Amino acid sequence: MSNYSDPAWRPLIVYSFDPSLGRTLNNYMTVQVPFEKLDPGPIGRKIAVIDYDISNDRYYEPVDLENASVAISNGLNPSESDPRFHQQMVYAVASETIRRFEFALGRKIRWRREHGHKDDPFHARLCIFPHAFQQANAFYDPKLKAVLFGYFKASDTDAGSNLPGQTIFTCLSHDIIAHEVTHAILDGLREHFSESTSFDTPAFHEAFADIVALFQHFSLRDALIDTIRRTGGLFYRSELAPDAKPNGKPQIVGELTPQNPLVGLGRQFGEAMGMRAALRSAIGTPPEPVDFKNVNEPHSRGAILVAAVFAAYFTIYVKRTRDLLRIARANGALDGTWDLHPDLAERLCHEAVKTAEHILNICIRAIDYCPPVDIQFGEYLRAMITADYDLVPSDKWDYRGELIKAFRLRGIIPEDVSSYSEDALRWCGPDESDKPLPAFKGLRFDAVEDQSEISPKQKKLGTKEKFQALHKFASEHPTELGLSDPKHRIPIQAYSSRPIFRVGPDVRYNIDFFVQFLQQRIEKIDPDDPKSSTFTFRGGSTVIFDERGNVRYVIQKRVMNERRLADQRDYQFRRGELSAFATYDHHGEAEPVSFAAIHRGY
Amino acid sequence: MARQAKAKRRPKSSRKAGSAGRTKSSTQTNPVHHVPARKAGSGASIRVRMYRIGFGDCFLVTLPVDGGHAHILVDCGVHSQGDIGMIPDIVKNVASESGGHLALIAATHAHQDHISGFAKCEADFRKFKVDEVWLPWTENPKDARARKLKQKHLQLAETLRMHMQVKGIVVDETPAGEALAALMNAAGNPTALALLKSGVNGGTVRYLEAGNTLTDAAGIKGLNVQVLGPPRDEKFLARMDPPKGDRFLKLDSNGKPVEDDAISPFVKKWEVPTTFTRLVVLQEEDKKALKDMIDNATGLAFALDQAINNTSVVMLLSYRGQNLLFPGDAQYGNWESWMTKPDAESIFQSIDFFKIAHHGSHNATPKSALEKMRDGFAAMISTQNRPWPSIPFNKMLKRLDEKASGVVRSDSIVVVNGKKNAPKGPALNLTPGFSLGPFWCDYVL
Repeated sequence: MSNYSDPAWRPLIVYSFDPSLGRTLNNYMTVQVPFEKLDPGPIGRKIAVIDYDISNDRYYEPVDLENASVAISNGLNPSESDPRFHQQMVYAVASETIRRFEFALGRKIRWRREHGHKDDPFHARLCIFPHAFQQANAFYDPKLKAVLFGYFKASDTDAGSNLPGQTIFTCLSHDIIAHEVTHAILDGLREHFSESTSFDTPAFHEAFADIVALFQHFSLRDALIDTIRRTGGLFYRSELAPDAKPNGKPQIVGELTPQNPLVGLGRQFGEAMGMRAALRSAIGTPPEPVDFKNVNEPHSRGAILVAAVFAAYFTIYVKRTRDLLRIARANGALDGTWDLHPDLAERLCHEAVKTAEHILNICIRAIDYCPPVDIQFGEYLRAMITADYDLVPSDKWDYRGELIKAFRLRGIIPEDVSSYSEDALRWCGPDESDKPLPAFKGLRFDAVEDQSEISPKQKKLGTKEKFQALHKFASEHPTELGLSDPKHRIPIQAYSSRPIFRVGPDVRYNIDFFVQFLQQRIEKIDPDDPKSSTFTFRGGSTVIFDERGNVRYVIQKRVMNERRLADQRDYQFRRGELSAFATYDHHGEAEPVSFAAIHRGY
Repeated sequence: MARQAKAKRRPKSSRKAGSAGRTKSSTQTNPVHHVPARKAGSGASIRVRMYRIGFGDCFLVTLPVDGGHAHILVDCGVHSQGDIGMIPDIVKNVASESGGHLALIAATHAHQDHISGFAKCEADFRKFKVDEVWLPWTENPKDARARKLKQKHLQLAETLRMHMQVKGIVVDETPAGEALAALMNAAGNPTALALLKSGVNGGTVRYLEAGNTLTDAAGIKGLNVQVLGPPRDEKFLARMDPPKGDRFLKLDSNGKPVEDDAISPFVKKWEVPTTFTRLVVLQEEDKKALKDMIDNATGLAFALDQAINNTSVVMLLSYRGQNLLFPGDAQYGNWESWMTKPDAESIFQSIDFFKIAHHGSHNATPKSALEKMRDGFAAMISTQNRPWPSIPFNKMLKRLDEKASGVVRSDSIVVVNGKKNAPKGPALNLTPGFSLGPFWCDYVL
């Protein structure tokens, strides 16, 4: 047998949007998935697609992507009636989402802490069930580390562009797959963001998942080019120019200004639900600063954050393409024409894709700069600004300035910040104390996950030593590192530590070391009620070291901050007002952030 | 046992002419049951009578009019799991108080605990002369949107109930049991609704929505009614629109589960046996965990309950300078639709009497709304902690006690010769304006 090396990529065909758009608008596209050997399912190293239908208690035939005739034709062709294509699509889009995270973060991602038996095939994998149940819903469940996609019948009377009564598969919507997988990835990066500690936390999970799903779309050339052409380059318009438009009036009724598929997520899903319009569409909402104070439902509140990021994106895109449009105008092209010169469309598309990739990277990298618990929108802005400053100090197009402006216009105000300037928003170093904080000497840069020369036993020992060293360092300098004074006797947990290697556009090589410290207190929900049930009040900090062990940033949420505690209690109370569960709940259990429940809309 | 009237006072300045009806009886010190309540008609004052009905609502509002009185009945129903058997007596009392003439019956929403009395005592109600019947717009059979919503509510309630029956769930203090109790509240109301929608006995039927204002309402000169809920705007419809009914097991005539609404997403040939080559087969425990996760019947039942509560008519009655707020069972979603509007502030500042919504549950009296209300209003709560121990919500009651000049809970009224097993609330604290009857409590404004 000849010896062939593995290819770098495995091309797979998927829908760019969802089946409702048919073949129009470049709705078929090929995703380049990093190559790995696959078992039928597909089951790879990080993902296991299991086509078990819980509602009907049956299995559907798993796709074998290693099969030569499948592999040679970029996978199976899009089909709503073949479950094997569905499996291929969830695998491809999920892998694409993971790839984008790993690129932006500069390391391999991990799922939520592994549980279950080590021999279990799903131990270290995210399980994806493409046809899990008969419900108009799809969700990620942190406990089972699984993404479940539902299927359902389109409304008989109000089916939008679907056929009345047709079966709709949530697993065939590019956006929904990316959205749910992002929930899973974020949960792996920041486990405690799944705890509902303020109106911002569940909203942030939703917003972040939407941001990733949407920008993933905007960075796909194939999906974008037609929209660029049909909006005269202003692809953020909510409607597309009709295909047939000789001089003003469309002649073909079927082509009357279709909606822009890029700015409404989960379109097929939303329309099929009947009374609700598109599931999430935040883009192009004019800023309304009071919304941030009043809007509490997670999707609507999250939409404020999504809209802010998109406003910045579109502004930067406009800045970056101004010259191109000027050149085109100089040659006699008209502004906002509905059908652009293909070369110009290609160039605009290039800029749009590049900008989308930049913004997506900023948004993803910012997660490493977030506190370990209780994320607030304002802190996320600070994380974005700091993360981007670290990698791209020059910022020629003023990405950071545009982000700051977009957040400010929407009334998202970070706490404890003196102004909206970039300097003020960047995270700070350790809190001032009498003597400067010494460098930490115990950094270990075991970057490659499976170095074969290190035995698992050695590796485990090394990890233990590393955490012991971190714990010692934190115990010696708790106040400087945003932790509680030793007199409170609250244990410190060194929770996660990751080296991060990155090369910026100026070819500077960055090595940083990110550590999360956690602390917790058990507190009564209602301090005045002796019988009140309790909750875990968490605090801690994210500490970023440079490669010599100097502390660069301390991103803290102090566990002894009584105002934070009061806010969380107030939140528990106010959330009860909104919750259908709280009405009859005398068990006093705080309702968990259930992604399932949120997606069901209550 | 003697109890002094609370020192707390309504702010005098807020009281207007025409409300001078408060008399010495307001300093009643002993809640002895036989003290006759002040007869309506002994003055030019408004009287609100709350009946001890069990877990439900029944209020009789009596307004002094030229040459007599006009009577308004707001709801009459009890939850089957919280019934203390008082409805026939209550209907008799309504008849004798009103002389068989009700200017208005307002049925705030289609839950059993607000309308079951109209079914149980259908024949008695048919003998009343009724001028008007009010229902929320969501009950209007001529409104396509309402029909759709209503159908969804009923279907979901029925499938969920069946599903729970198959699973052997009974009403108890587990979340599923509590959810079942909430479902029972939504079902079995067609007789009552049919009677109400027919006008009961010659009454004009009106379907109300937020934004309606009625002057000389129900033919009562000087009665102005501002309807604050249920909203009709698109933005708030979702609050009354429960999630779509997912698939649940139903029963056939032999009590066997059937799956008549099951979708087979693919043709048969794609189905494979567990012996299929290299198929990953799940462990039984994994299957069970997955099954539990997708069973959201409990969550859906609560969501449905909240959706129906949010269809409640919320009305502000204004008569001779007094303002009475009757919010039905409106929960947060319904309140939110109007309490953020500019005129809400002045409404909150004008309230003299407040019927606490949804039996005093956690999310039926938003904290922000309560805080905005001026101090010194009188409040009544028709409640008891059966079938749901979490109702009424103590934290809200505590704040209410501080804000209001007086609060009476219906379960504090000990029914003379009443049912032995009726849940007992805390001891009564009658402040000025309140007085007791054999199975009711009156408040005179």
